[in-house]
Amino acid sequence: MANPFRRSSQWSQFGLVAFFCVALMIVDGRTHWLDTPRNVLSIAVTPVQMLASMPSRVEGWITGQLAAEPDIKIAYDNLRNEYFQLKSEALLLRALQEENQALRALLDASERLQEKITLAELMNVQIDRDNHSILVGKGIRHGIYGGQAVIDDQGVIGQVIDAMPFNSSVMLITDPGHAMPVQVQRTGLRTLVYGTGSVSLLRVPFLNQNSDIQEGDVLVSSGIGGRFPNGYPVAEVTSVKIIEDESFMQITARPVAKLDRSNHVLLLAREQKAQNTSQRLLDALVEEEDTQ
Amino acid sequence: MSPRRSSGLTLFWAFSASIFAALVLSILPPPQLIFYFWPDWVALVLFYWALTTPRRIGPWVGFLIGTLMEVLFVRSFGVMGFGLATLVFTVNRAHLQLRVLSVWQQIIVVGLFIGIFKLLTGWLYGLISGFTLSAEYFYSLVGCMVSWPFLFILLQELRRSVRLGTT
Repeated sequence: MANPFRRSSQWSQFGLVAFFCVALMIVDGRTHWLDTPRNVLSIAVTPVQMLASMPSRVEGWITGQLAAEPDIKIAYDNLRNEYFQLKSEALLLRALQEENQALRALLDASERLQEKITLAELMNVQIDRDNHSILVGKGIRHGIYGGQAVIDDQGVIGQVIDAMPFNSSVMLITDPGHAMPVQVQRTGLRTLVYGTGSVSLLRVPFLNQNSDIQEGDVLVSSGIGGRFPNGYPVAEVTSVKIIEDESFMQITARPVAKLDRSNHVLLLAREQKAQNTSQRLLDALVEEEDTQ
Repeated sequence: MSPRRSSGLTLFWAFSASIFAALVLSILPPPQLIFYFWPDWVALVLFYWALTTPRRIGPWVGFLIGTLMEVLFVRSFGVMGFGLATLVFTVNRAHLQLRVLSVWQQIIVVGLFIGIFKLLTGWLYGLISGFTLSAEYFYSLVGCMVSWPFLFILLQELRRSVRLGTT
């Protein structure tokens, strides 16, 4: 071969790689300098992600094609009923919103922040014991930024931890490294809810023995910390155990959102502009239809 | 038989195609039943190329592929690159001994070397991001060992069909 190959140079080559890797680990761990190269490279690996999401897309297409007409008719009727019901509720909501705003003005409280909603498709689910994240198909190009709250039609899913040009990575609330501020809906009691590494289990570690909480209580986001807007359901308490001589109760909860099973998720962004929530949701849906 | 064409370009395409397929397989959500046993496809494919073309596929290539994986999985940079570079390096060093072995004997070496790779990366992730090694983490070695013979034959066939020699 023309390529010169000397055994002695192997070690030095490997040493160089190892040194380079250690430098990378330190730089990536301490600074944000490598975020831009990562974004550029993420475009290069987009074909891999596209191809990997192909089977589920093909499956969806085939089931769509195979669905019998009566089924579609029934689905259509159901959707129409649901649509009118939601529409009437949205009307009521608008009235309530105005009333709420007027009351808040009377109380001199600040106006509730409005959220901009982006609909995104789920591209990849990555769940192992130490890392619960999903990849969604909207990124910096669509105005996504790190720290956005992510919900589905049932409740809170997680938050954006890494926004890349065309997609972004979302950490689920069940990730062992995730904690979020919540409130017990029944009593208004504030606490934190932690992920455990199991998709159907959350932990509420810091509640005193005398706290008022019971099985079946719904935990909603409290809005403290400013990352998650308040009022979205997060979890339902599944067990409350009092252990003698322990200062805190042992409480477990089950997330209400379909964490790894929903096909579409909503990303919430803060914006000051007041606009009707349901109207914006409809806008987002229409926009999604247009792009497809 | 036509003369063997061991040009760099052919190797590049064959290598890239197999690595691309391995990357797709590695992010494909595996069925629940074999969730933990889903092999580390990229490491396996790199093992093959480091074994058969040690002069071309060196530590730097391993590092490059590792970096791509880190982008794909949104992990911190450097760890996977280091792990794959080490894997490629050890296989390169031992390629003459390994080639003598039959595929069945190679299975054991594959388990050993990829086990070292997983231990190393798991340990480094532990240092960086509080990852703890668990028994399930190593289950994928079984998958690697089981799929090695099939992968070996498949890639051998690929290499023969593009008339790629040993370099």
